[in-house]
Parts: sequence; C-alpha cells; structure tokens
Amino acid sequence: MKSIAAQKNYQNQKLVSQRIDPACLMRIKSLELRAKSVVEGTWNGLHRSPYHGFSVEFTEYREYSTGDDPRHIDWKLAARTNQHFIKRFEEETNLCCHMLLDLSSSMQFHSLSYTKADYAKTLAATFAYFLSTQRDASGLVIFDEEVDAVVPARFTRGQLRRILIELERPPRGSHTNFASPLKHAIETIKKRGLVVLISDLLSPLDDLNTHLGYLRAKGHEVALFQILDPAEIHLNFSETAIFEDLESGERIALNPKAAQANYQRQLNAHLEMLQGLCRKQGVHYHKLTTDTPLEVGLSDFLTDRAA
Amino acid sequence: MSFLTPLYLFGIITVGLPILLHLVRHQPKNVLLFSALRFLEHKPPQTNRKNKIENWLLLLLRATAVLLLVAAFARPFFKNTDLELTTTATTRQTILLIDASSSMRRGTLWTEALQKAEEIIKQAGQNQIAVYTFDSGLTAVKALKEATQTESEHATQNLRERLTKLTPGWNATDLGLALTEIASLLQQQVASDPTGTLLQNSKIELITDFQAGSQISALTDFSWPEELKVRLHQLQTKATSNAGLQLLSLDEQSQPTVRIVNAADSQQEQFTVAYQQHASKPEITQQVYVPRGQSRVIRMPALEPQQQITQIVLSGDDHDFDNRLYLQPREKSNLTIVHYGTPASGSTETPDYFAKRAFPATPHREVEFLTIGPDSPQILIAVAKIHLLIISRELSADETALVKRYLQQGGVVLFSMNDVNSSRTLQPVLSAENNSAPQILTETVDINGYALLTNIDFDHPVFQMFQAPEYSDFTQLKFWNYQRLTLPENIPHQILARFDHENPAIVNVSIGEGQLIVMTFGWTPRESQFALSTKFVPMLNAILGQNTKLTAVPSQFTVGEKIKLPDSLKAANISTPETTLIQLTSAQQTLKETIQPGLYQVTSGDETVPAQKFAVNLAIEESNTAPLAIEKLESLGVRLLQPGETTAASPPPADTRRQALLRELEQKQKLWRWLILVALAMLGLETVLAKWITGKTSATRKA
Repeated sequence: MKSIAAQKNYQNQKLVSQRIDPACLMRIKSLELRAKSVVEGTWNGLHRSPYHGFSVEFTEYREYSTGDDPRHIDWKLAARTNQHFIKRFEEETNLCCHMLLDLSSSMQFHSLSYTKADYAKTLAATFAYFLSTQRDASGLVIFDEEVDAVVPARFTRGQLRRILIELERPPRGSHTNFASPLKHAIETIKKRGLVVLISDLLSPLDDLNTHLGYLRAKGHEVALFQILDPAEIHLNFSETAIFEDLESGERIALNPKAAQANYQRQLNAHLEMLQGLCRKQGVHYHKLTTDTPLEVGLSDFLTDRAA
Repeated sequence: MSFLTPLYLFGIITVGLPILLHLVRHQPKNVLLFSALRFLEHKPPQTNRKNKIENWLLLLLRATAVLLLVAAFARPFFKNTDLELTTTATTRQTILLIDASSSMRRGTLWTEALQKAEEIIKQAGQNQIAVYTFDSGLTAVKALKEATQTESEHATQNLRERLTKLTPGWNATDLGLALTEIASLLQQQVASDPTGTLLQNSKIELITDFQAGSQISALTDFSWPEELKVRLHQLQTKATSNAGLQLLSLDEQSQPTVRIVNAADSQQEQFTVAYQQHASKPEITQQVYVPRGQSRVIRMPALEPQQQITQIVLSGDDHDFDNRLYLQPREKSNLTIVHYGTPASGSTETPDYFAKRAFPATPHREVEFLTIGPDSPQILIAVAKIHLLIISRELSADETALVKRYLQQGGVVLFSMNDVNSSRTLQPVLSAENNSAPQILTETVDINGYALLTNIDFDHPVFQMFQAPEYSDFTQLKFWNYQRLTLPENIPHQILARFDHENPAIVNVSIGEGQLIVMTFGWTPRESQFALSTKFVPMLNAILGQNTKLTAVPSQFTVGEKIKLPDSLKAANISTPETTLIQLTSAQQTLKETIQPGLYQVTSGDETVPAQKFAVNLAIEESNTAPLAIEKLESLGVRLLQPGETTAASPPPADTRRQALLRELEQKQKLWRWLILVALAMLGLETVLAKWITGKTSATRKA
C-alpha cells in the first residue's frame, strides 16, 4: 500500500516537473491564453496519465434516481449489472460548475512576482476553459466582503468570454466574508452541481461550517481550493519590519525569525481545523501554494468532477 | 578669551547629539504588507537599544569635535590691552563730484559749478574733503587718500587754487560710471579700515547740469550702498535751446549724411546747416525743421574734391559748443604697380593681359600699371614709390638688383613661375640674401590630367577673404602644368597652398622687410584656370594689400576714442587742432590724445608714407541737454538727499565702534581656523578608531 502511494507520489512529482512553471505562465498577459496553456498541457498529458479513467467519457453514465426520465436508462447495462444507469448523450451538458472566487485584499499578497489573486484567477480561468471545451456549464461568483460579480452558470457560446472578462477586472479589495457568496450560492443554485470555492481561507472560519453543510445538503459537490503564498506558510522574511495587515490595516513591528515558530503553529492549527471541517462535511480540500504548477490544480479539479 | 559671536555657544547643546544617537532605539522603518497578521503574535521585536555606552573614547572624540566646531563658530579671540577703545570724534567726509563734460561749456554753467564747489568747501569746515571731476571717466583733483589727512587752512587754499585751474573737457558724460566708482572707492576704504570713517558719515556732493544725455547704465549692475547719500546740485542755464550734429556717413562721393538732434527743452525748432571752410563764411546753407526732443537726418550736397570743406556748421540754437562737425573725406591714393613681363598687346596668351585688369581704379585709388618687357627701356621711377612688383619673365642682372633692393626696403613682390625661363630668375633673387647660394630646384612637373590646390592656409592675409565656407571652394580651379619648387631649409618660408597635398603652389618668403610671394604656376588659360576664376582679382589685390604703406586708418572718430596707428606710422608726429605737435615714440601705436574735436594729421619722418588725416567730433549724447528726470537716478538705487536733509547727525554709538574694533581683532587672530583644523583631525582620528574597533569585534566574532 505504502509502495503504491510512494509510486503515485513519484509519478505526481514527475508530472509536476513536466508542467509549466507558474512564474513563466503568469508572464502571459492574456488570461485565456494562460488557461489554454494549462488545459492543453494537461489534456495532452491525459493519454498517459494515471487519471485517464476519470476523464469525461466515464461520466456519461449516471445512476438512476427518482425523477429521472426512464427513457434515458441504459437497459443493456442494467441487464449486465442489474443496476440502473442513465445514459447521457455527449452533446448534453452534464455538469454545472459554480466557481466562487475570493478577491479580497488578502489575496493581493505576494512574495513571488505575482499575487495570490493572479494565481487564483488563472486557476478559475483554467477551470472555465476546460469546462467550455467539455461543453459543461460554468458560472462565476467573485466576492470579497460581499458578492461583487455574478456570471450565472450556463453553457453558451460566449460564456467563457464573459467569465474571463469578469476575471480580468481589477480587484476592489476589502475584507473576506464567506457567508455572503455561500449564501448566494445556496439561494440561487437550484440544479445540483459542483461548487468550487477558491480563496486563501485565512479569515476566521465561523460560518463556513454551516454554509458548507447547507451546500452539501442541497446535493452539491463542493471543492475548496486554498491558495497560499509560500511566504505565508514559512514566514521566511529575514528583516525586522513593520507588518501591515492587507485587510484591516493593522500594524505591528515584528522580528519574523523570532515569531516564525509561533506563527507556524497557529497557522497549522487553522489549517487543520479547516481540513477537519472539510472532512466532516465531505468537501474536497486542496491546498495550493502559488508556486505549484496550475496543472496540479486542474488534476485535482478533474478528480473532484469525477467523484 | 572672548567671543565675537557668543550666541553660537548655545550650539554646545549639540554635544548631546552623539550620545543621543548612541542610545536611541532603532525602530524598523520598512513596512511589509502581509495577509495573515492574525496568526502573528503582537510581540515587539528585539531592537538594538543600548543602555550603556560601550566606546567611551569614540564618544569623547565626537563630543570634542562638536565642541571645537561650536567654539570656531563663536569666533574666539584674545583681548589685547594695546587695543583699548578710544573715543575719537567722528570724522565726516564730503566727496565733491564735478561734471566736466563738454555740455558744461554752455553759458555760465562752469563758473556756477566752481562757485557751488567753493561754497560746499566752505560749509564743510573741518570735514574731510575729496574732489573729483568726471566726464566719460573719473579724474581725481584731490583723491580720497589725500582727504584723510587733517584739513589745514593751507590745504584748503591749495585746493581752491586747484579748482580754479579746472576747465570742462570735450568728453561725453558717464554719470553712472562716476557714481559707481566713487561708491566702490568708499566701500573699499570702509572695508580696509573698519575703525575709520563709516559709510553713513560720507556724502557725495554732485555738481552737474544733469543732462538727459548722461550715461547711467553702469548703475544698473551696481548695488548702491544704503548708507551712502548723494546731494544733487543741478545747474541750469536760462537759455535752453540746443541742437547738435552727428555725422552718420560720408559716402564714396564725399556726400555726408548728417543727423540733427534737438534737445527736449529747446525753444527753437528751425535750424540752419551749412558747409564752412576754416574761418570763412558758411556756404550752401540748408534750413532744417527739427521738433523739440526729436532728430532729423539730412543728406548734404556732395563735396567737390577741390572745395577743401572741413566743417559742417549748425546755427539757430543758444549754445554753440556742439554746433561744429568736422569732416575728413577719405583721400585718394595713387598706386604704382610694375610688371616685369611680356607686354600683352591684346593677346590673352600673356600674363600681363590679366594682371593689368586685376587692379581697376576706384574712388579711393588711382592705379598706374607699368609693364616692362625684356626690350623696354629702363623705368624712371623711384623704388620707394612702387606698391607692387609682379615678375612673370626672366630678369636681367640690373632688374634683379632692383627687385632685391625693393624687397629690402619692405616691398611686395609677386613672382609667377609661368615657364622654365622665368623660374630661373628665382635663384638670383633669393641667393643674394644668403651668400652661401643655396640650391633652389625648379623643374616642370608632368601632370596626368590636372592639379588642384590643397592645404590652403586660410589664416594668411592672402587667403583670409576666402575663409567663409561659401568662398573656400578651390576645387573648381584646375592647373594644367606647374613648376616643382624645392626651397632649402635655410630660407625661411611659409607654404600657403600645395598641389594635391604634395608640391608647393604658393610660397611666402620674407626677405628683409619685404614679402616675396611665389606662385609656382602661371595664370594664363594655357597654364591654368586661375586668371579666369573669381579668385584671381581678390587674391592679387590682397597681395597688393600686403604693402604696409597702404593700410589706412578710419577717418572719423569721436572724442576720447583710442586710435591705433598702422605699423608704417612708427615714430609719428601728430598735429592737433590747436596746432600743437605730439611726438609719438616708435613703441607707441595708440593715440589717446583725441581730447578735443577737430582735424588731426599724422605724419612720419618717411616721405613715401602718406600723411594720415582724421576728424574727431563730439559725442552726440552731449547735445541732449534737457534735464534728466531725478526719478531715473533714484530708480537705479542711488540715495538722494532731499534739500535740507543732512546725513546721519548722531555720532555712531560706542557699541558700533567697539564691535568694529573687536571684529578687526578677531580677523587678525583668526583662531577659528585652528579650531576647525583640530576638529577635523579629531573626526579623522574617530573614523580610524571606529574602523579599528569594528574590525576587532568582527574578528572576535569569527573566531
């Protein structure tokens, strides 16, 4: 078992090495081109990747549930397996993905040449591009302390373009508040689908549990992508400086080396709490640092989509 | 020990600065924006606060350096018992500034000026008095230095005598210059002697007609001292009408253009202008209407050469000091040019045909061109009267001797090597100078196509006129053949141009006082395009101009202008309008004695050099006799005393004198320099010590 996990890890590592360095990718100005580069890289890689079996073809069948049109049941399969599956046509949209993107001030932090927000935007664009190639419906909600922009999920010709335009507009920047976008998602999304929350998730997790619970209860698949900067994980600043909070503007003078241990302890506690919460609610949790190739994020997304 | 500026001693407080800097808590300055501040504990960083002083020696050095600097700023000095303060009575100075320009010649102005001066001297009593006159410059009658001596009855009497001997001159008025110079003199006096008279105890008594033509522009660049006051004594005549004459031009036909300027306060507007010979009656009168404060330009009838007219006279105004304009038409010169060449007889094949046409007669010169062929009779003309000698054929022995003699006497010879025969003559002409008979090589050059002039020396007078880029193109000038000339080293020569960067084309050889210009080519169309080019006539005339006897001085000057005499007029006699003779020594080249208007004549002992005549006239500004607005002077910063006002009456307070004394004492001792030097040495020592300590600490850390 252990050896399989190690092998998988090795393969993952190998894949990472073949992937595009995010720093290079971020230098591409067009968001669409960025997304295209990631998707096509992954797509080409899929033929020999271990994720082959989870690609879109396998989701053509779905278990029959009450309310489904019986005309779509694959009777041959039912005969073979004694279970009822619904056969989907290729042309039909089978997935409705809602991306909730956090563009609050804290996402503006960067220790690399690009911000967390840039990375998150590219990730969202990648998902949208991928979904559009799959003819799946995708929607976007941009939020900070309240819902900032909404592109309802659908599969139309101009959908990708609409999403990209919303992604490219400059951030307004303020506090993070998960309640409002999640509430918005609960209230507006009627059709079951995949809800993807992209955020740094560094703010208090007070209502997150409740809202994720609601979403799950409504039958949505929820994936949580936590975007963190490497510096946020390691606090590897060398000089004593005045640290100013991006969201609250609070200032403290600090020697980072002295504060490092305590910081990491607190951060890990927070992350563990978040992971526990996700586990409890059956939410897919992915932690991405901004130096991770975006293809990793896309693979994670594919996994979630298949689940 | 005392301090000149003890307030600076408060700077001692700054000694605390190094200690404070040493102990100060260093707050981080850089601000870092961070996203996850809530995971950071608010724990103040450990700063490098130092509660105890580590390097006492460094601190001591720094503090001493600061102390020394503070002390230097406070200007310390040692009090000297010798220089005890004495209470001397304040001395006052009166500077009498009398206008002696030509406009003071009007009516009784000068007598009034002297009376006024007399009055002021009487009033001055015990005050120190200096007297200056001014026109276009400042002249001391009794200088400031003399004035500082104590006034005695005898000295005052002496001064009065000196004053009576003064007369107004003919120069223009530069009031600005006079005032600024006096003010500068006074400022220098105060600066050099701080215990002496203060500026507020000096006053300038200005006696002048204060005419509008006075120059005051010098005051614009001068910052007039606040304390120095001027009392203006403005003299006026009852009859105010005055007009003046100015010669604008005297053209080639000797027709003068004259401007008539009428003063702004004139009563008259109708004037008569006429020519006049020395003392005879005016001729060819002309009526001119000039409104007051304006000027009119008229063209007088042309002068006939035989008329001997020397003056233009204006009449109709009250004052005649500026009513005479002296004229000196340029005199025609007679030039003789001798050409040793084959006579032209209408053929364009000979150099003579072109040389003859290169020297046309002009209104200023009459040219006599003599061509002497190989068979012509000997010329009967004195060598000294030849202005240019051109050689384009082989010369006989007699002719060679004549050329050599001519060169020795300062003549100019143009030698054209237009063929092999003529080239042979160059050897005897040059060999006489050097008994060693140097070998001069000449040979015909075989040219493939044509040769061009290069390496032209445009700084030489012969080529100077072609210096401008539009004239300096000699590439259109082609030479079909020429002679190669090789001059030995011992003949001093200057190559003015070469053919194709190689062989000399034009060479200048100085022989005695004369100039020999050798052209290694001929100018007829058979040999080159030179004679047909636009360069030919100007260049030949430039060579003629090399003759120093022909340099003419301009013929019109204004009073006070310096005149540079040509080299040929060394050791000259100058006859002035007053028929007195001025002898110039040979070293003197400039004439400063143009002190009055009139006609001047410069003659030298040499008969062959023609006499130079020139006219000197008054500056036209002097005719502008309307009074100047006093506001103009005030606007330039000059402090004028109102009638009845006196200069600072109270003696300067003892404090001021004491301060002046102390300042002088401090300036003599200059202790601050030493203090600054020691402070710098301390800082240097501190730097070295600090470096040593840092090195030592880091070495310990590494270990």
